[in-house]
Amino acid sequence: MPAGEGVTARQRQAIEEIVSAAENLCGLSFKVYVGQLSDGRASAEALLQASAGESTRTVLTAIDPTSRTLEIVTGSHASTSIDDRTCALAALAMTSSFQAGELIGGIRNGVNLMAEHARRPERRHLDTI
Amino acid sequence: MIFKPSRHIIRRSVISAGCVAAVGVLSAAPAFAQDSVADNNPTGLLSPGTAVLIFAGIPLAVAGLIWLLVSAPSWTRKARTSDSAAFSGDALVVGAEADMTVGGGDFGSAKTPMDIARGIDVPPGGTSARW
Repeated sequence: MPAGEGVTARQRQAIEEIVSAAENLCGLSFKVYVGQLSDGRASAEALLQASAGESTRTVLTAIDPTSRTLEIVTGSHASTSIDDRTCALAALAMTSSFQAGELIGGIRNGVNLMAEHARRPERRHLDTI
Repeated sequence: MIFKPSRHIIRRSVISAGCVAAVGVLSAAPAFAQDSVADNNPTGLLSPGTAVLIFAGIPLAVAGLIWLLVSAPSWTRKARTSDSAAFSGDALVVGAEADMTVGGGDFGSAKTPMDIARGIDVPPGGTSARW
């Protein structure tokens, strides 16, 4: 991300692809927010609640590059598939990349990790009946 | 804008130049060995200029070529900047049904985000982190 600019169109497209792949993988809704979180976690929770659709099935990853803060908020239904420990692991993966200046790479690592964890295993013996 | 090299750069340059000169002199030293009758050298003595060119010029040229090949790619790329430090753009929301209005604090209703957060049950999951 060049100095003085926000997220470029190419970066936005990359994030959209990451989110789309994660949603296809596990069936939950993923949202990525990059911007200011003036009230910290409360802002992230407000963002999740204000979003359209089923917020209970949504996982919001909110990143504030200015204050170097990351908030992962899971809806009540999503939290049954993605527990707090998984979120913490994803946060660790993301912050490691953010420290290296890799915004997109960090988002990819974290969102993929959560989606992989939430993916339901195939039940072939039941699906064939 | 006048480029003023720092003392660190000057010192490193002097040390590098000294090392290169020393290696060059050592490399070329055998060429200055005195010829003797017992030395059965069919090609005869090399002139000092030729000796320096062969024994110092060629190694230096090879070293310069390697340095150029290593350094050139970084000249063609932009300096890597930290994404987080450079962020100053508008907020971005990506995701399914991402219809939140961001940047102005209006998230699609008359309530402020904090009002929404207080009025609705807080989602149970998630985590916070800093870097």
